[in-house]
Amino acid sequence: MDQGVINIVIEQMDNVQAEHSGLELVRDTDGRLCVRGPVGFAMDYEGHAIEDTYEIEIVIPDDFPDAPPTVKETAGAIPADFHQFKSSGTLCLGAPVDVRRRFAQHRTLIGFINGQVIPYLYSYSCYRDHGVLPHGELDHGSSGLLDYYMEHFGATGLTTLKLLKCLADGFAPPLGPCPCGSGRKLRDCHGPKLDELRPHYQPELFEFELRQMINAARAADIDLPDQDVMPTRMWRQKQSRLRKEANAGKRKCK
Amino acid sequence: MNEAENRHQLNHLLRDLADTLDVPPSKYAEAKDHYRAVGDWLNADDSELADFSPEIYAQGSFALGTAVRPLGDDEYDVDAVCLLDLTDSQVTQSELKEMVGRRLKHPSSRYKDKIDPEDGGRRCWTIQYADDSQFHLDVLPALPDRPEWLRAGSVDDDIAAHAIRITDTETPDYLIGWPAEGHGAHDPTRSNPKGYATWFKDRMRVRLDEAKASLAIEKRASVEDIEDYEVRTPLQRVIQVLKRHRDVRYNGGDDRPISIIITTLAANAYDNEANLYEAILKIVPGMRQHIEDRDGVWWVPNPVNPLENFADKWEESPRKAKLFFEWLDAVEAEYQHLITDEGFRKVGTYLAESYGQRTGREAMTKYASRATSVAAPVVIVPSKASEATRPRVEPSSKPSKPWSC
Repeated sequence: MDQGVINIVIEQMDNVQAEHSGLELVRDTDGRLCVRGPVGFAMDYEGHAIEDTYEIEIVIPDDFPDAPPTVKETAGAIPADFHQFKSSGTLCLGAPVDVRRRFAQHRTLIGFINGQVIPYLYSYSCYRDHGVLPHGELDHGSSGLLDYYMEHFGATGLTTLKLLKCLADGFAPPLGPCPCGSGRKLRDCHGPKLDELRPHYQPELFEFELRQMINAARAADIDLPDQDVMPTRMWRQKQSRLRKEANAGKRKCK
Repeated sequence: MNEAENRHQLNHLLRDLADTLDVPPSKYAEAKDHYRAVGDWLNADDSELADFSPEIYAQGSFALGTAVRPLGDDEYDVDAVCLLDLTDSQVTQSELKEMVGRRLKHPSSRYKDKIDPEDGGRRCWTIQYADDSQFHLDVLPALPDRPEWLRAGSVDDDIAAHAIRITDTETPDYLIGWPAEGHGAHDPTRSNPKGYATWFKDRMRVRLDEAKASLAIEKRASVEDIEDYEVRTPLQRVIQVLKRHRDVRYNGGDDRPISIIITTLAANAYDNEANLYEAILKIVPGMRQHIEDRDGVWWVPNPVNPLENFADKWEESPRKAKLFFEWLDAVEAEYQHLITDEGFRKVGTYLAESYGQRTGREAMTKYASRATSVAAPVVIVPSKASEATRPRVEPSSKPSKPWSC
């Protein structure tokens, strides 16, 4: 691991330990840098006052602080079916692009812990004790992602897919009409909302998520205006497949 | 308990620590440029010293490869001998000292405003370079020496050949000549830095040759092209580690053991161990064995001058000796503890406490950046408390909603 990254993390530990003195920085047996130990909090959100402590392990990525860390709960206090990645047990703090966007606003461990990890832990405590998630939750899979983007854009599902296509294609003319149909230029309508997300994710990742949403819609027999919502690459693929099928059909006719 | 693994990791970590303490090669090059430039100035055609073919060479920790980066605002202290081809019957101490001083302070000399103090120190002229270079160079005027007891063969002839006489304003004969020979007591004008360096290198010959051979392979060069200062043996690294440990523990106090005592005792105790951790555990207890008790007086004899006791100050202040022994015990205990799992877990804190926050941090950074995996996690920044605090965390107006794929 790069010494510059390690230096940054060691420096940031001062601020982390000023509030969470039980956390330590270790190099684990795989050579990864981890912040681990007990993290406690007292939080009050809309009348749900909770004090609690969890054992966590935060893994620092090689490209920290460009990318956010990942975090696990290590004492088995949170059941596997509560918002975790199945394969790794990593906590799903939110929609991936949202986790990155929030982290990019401070790029610090203490900001990550207080602004992202603790709200998540608090949500679980609340759910366990009162049966509710105070800030709500997203559905599993692409449906949850669609909800996140709809809320972010303040738009319907179809408009959201059209806007995501702009991100997946990596380009949308700012002076062209906004895909939402308002009649305004993109720049003066949903453009700023796109700009909020664009720096935090590669077009390929937006495309990956958008394809999942389109496939889920298809599976549910929802008819979509393909050319308006499909990432351009996906659209071209479909066109060429259709042509081949058509050609194959012609040959059969002969 | 996994002592073998901890021992292996400590070897790496000590190496990272020593690397952190080491003077960067660029500073070595800078030091060399500085004293060579002084040599050129003293040798220039219009120099009154040119007839005595002044030769300038480094002595002390820069010559031995045991220098450590200065702590805080301290400066690099480079010592250089300026040897003139004269005999002690041709010039008095003060004449020798002033000859060199006059040349350095010559109106057309670039050093004329850099000599501090202006009338010289006890043994040397100090050249103070610009603030940002963090350097000062001590130039010791000297002439070759061949005293009776050296001729008698008590010291190897090739070592004795490098003996020199330096000036000392605190000897009674400073203005009129040189201390007379043959009282059996050490004469502070007698010195042999080159001989000492030869002795020092012989003490680590196996590892020095090995390190140079391995660097030669790496650089695809021949061993003859590798300079001694390009490599570090475990002995040099242990000395660097001990010197910084001392600096932190004594915190600049007057009772701190002088570097030459540490260097001499460590070199005597070293048995060409290859592993740094083994070397430190061999050297630290072994240093004690090489301090002689001569009728109640502690002696650390200069290996190239049997009349000189490096620990002569211990006689007038026995406290120095007592603190030195306590220090050795403490270092040994620390390293014995570090090899246990409990000790090794806290190695980061230990380094910060014993070698300074910044040094400890840098060494741990180097160590943590290694790709090799370890058998047990290593704590780089230990927790400040075993229990979690529960600070009030203000929720943001719109926290993320948990999701899963």
